[in-house]
Formats: sequence, C-alpha cells, structure tokens
Amino acid sequence: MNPMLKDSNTIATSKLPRRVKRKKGLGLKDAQVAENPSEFSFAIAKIAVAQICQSVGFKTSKNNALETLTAVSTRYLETIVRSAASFANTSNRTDSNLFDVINGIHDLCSVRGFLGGSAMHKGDLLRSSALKEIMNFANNSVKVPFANQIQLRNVSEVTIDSGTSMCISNQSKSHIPRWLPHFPKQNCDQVLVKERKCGEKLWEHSLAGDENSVVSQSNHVNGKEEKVTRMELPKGRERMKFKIRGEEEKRVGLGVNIMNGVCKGRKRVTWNHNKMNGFIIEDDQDEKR
Amino acid sequence: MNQNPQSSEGRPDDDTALSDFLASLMDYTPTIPDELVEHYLAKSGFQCPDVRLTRLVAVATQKFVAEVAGDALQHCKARQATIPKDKRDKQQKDKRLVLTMEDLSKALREYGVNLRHQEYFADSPSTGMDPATREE
Repeated sequence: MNPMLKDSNTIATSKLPRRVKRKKGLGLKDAQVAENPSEFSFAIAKIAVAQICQSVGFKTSKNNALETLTAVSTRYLETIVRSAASFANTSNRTDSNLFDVINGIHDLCSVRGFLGGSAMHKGDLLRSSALKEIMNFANNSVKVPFANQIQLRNVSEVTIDSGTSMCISNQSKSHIPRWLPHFPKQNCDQVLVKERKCGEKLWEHSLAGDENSVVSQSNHVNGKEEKVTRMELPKGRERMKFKIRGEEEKRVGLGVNIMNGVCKGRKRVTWNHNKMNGFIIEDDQDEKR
Repeated sequence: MNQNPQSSEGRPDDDTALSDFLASLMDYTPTIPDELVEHYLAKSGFQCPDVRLTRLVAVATQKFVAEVAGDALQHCKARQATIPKDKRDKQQKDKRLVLTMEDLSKALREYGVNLRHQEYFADSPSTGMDPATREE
C-alpha cells in the first residue's frame, strides 16, 4: 500500500505531505522581521490573502502560489487606486471620490466584463452592476477580520520629512564638514538677532531697534566672543598647510601672526577675524570705487 | 460626491441601497486591514479622507481575491475528480485542498493575468526526491 501511495503522490503534484501544513503553521508563528516597508506590507497582504483563501475553502497552499496571488492582488488594488487617482486628477481634483473609485473598478472589471459594461461611460455610475456585485459580496460573504494586530512601530522612519523644515540634523548633512558651526534653528530668529556677534541684524529688526548701542556693544566684546565661537565648534578643523608664494604684501596684510610662534616656516597660515573683516571691508570699498 | 449630475437620476431604491451600503462600510471590517490599504493608497497618490472609500477598495480587492481563489478551488476539485475511483479511495486520507500554481494560473487566466511558471524548478536539493521522505 505504501509504495502505491508514494507513487500517486509523485504523479498528482497537488498532493502534499502533511509536513507542509505543519511547517506553514510554524512559519506564521515565527517572528519574522521585514527588512523594508514593501516587504512588510507584502507580508501583511500575504496573511490577508491566506485568510481569504481559507475562507473560500482551501486547507493549505503552496508558498509560491500564495505569494503569486498576493502579488497579483496587491497590484489589483494599486491599479484600482491609481486609475481612480488619475480620474480625479483629470477632473482637476486632488481628492478622489466615490465616482473615481467606481470608474477605477470598472476599468479592472472590464477585462472580464460585467452587466452594462458596453455603456460604461454613459450610464449612471452609481447604478453600475460592478458596484452591485461588490455590495452583494460584502453583504453575503463571511466577514473574516484580519488575524493579527498590526503594530506600527517605526512610523518616524517611514514618514518622509518635508523639505521645508530648516532645522537640519547633523546626520542628514554628511557633506558639511563637522568643524563648521551648526546651522541655526528655524524658530529662534529672535534670539539669534540678540546674540549676533558682529552687530548684524535682520533688516526688519534693524528698523525697530537701536543700532548704535548694539554695534558699540559688539565692538567691545568682539575679541572675547571670537574665542568663544572658536570654542563652540564641534570639532577642531584640520591644519591647513599651503605655501604662499609671490607678493609679500599680502602676506603682511594677512596678519602679524604669521611670523609668530605658531606658524613658522610660512607653511601654516592663521588670521584673526578682525583682519578678515578688514580685508572684506577693504574689498568692498575697492568695489565701490 | 455631489458633483455628478447623474446621481439625481438614480432610482430611489438604488440610492437607498447604495447609501445603506456606504453607511454599513463604516462598521465593516474587511479582511484586508485598513492600514495596508492606506499604505497602497498613499503609494499610488490616492488622496481621500473618507474611510468608506478605503473600505470600498478593500472590499473590491477582497472580492477579486475570493473569486480567483474560488475558481482555483473549482479547478482543484475538478482535477481531483478526474482521478480514477480506485485510486481516489486510497487517497481519501490525503485528499486535501491545496492552492497550487497550476490551479492558480488557470484561474488567473480568466482574469487577464497570464501566469507562467516553471513546470519543474529545482529550488532545493531535496526537490524530486521521494515526497514522503523529503522535508519542505
């Protein structure tokens, strides 16, 4: 008897040994971690499709068949929705409504055909037979709720940040060197205006405030604050080594510090902000001339 | 939803049936969960705050899957019925309704999906061995 059974199993490929069912049950219980969102949604859809197949009457299913049916059904859903969205967009709307969805359902039901499909775009959409079939299905079918409760854990990772936010995290801007100061935050303009070192102001605030006092304060504190800003940098800048050949006037103009103890041999160049500002101001004056 | 002028022409029975159906969708729990449908809605650019439309799409998809699975089930049963009776009696213990690619591809062909799959694909070293001893 046993050899006969084995032979028949090999001939009729649909007959599966009992271990398959056991393995499937174990597989559902195993905690599987989806690597990306599409895999996660596919796994959820797979469970739902398996439930529907079970409610239809199947006892077990092969894994590849179940995955194929899941892929087809998710594409079916996406196609309905995409055509509904395009119907909405062609009628100058962003929000879709019931008529768009019915049109989308018509598009996909027209492959198989339905009652009144010949006059699809002439008749009343609300009286379409495709919608009535869905209504009958919803009323008559056995309602099987989804088996598992979906846990939405990493919502923040899934949602995409809108590009308008100005608060920039360090991780997202890896191309900016870390020794540069942090970007200012968006909502602290008012505070920044008070804390500006060089007496710079936004134009609208400069109209309201008293300019002279701020400028004089900033001039007094300028030297100290420069050191403070350097201390605030998140990471020390690398030493820049380069030679300056040619005009000696510029070397002198860059600052007296050049020949001082820190930078010997003309390889390292440092300058302080006063001299920098002086240069910039001079350049501006040159341009004005 | 009131933008379609044809909606006023519908018969009152249909209108009440439709409105009842839409109202019943508020309490309906389709097998395909709302979160999943909303994920695909957002992926496809569908924008609508109404939960009923989400559920309607879910019900439509569920109907499609149920129809395909029902057709595959009929194919499966029909194929099992062709087995001669003397063998069928011996297989009665193993008679089980299994969703296979063979039945699924036949069922999906009616819905315009041409499904091609390998007739024989050795995806594991144990494929083709004695089915009673192999572990899948």
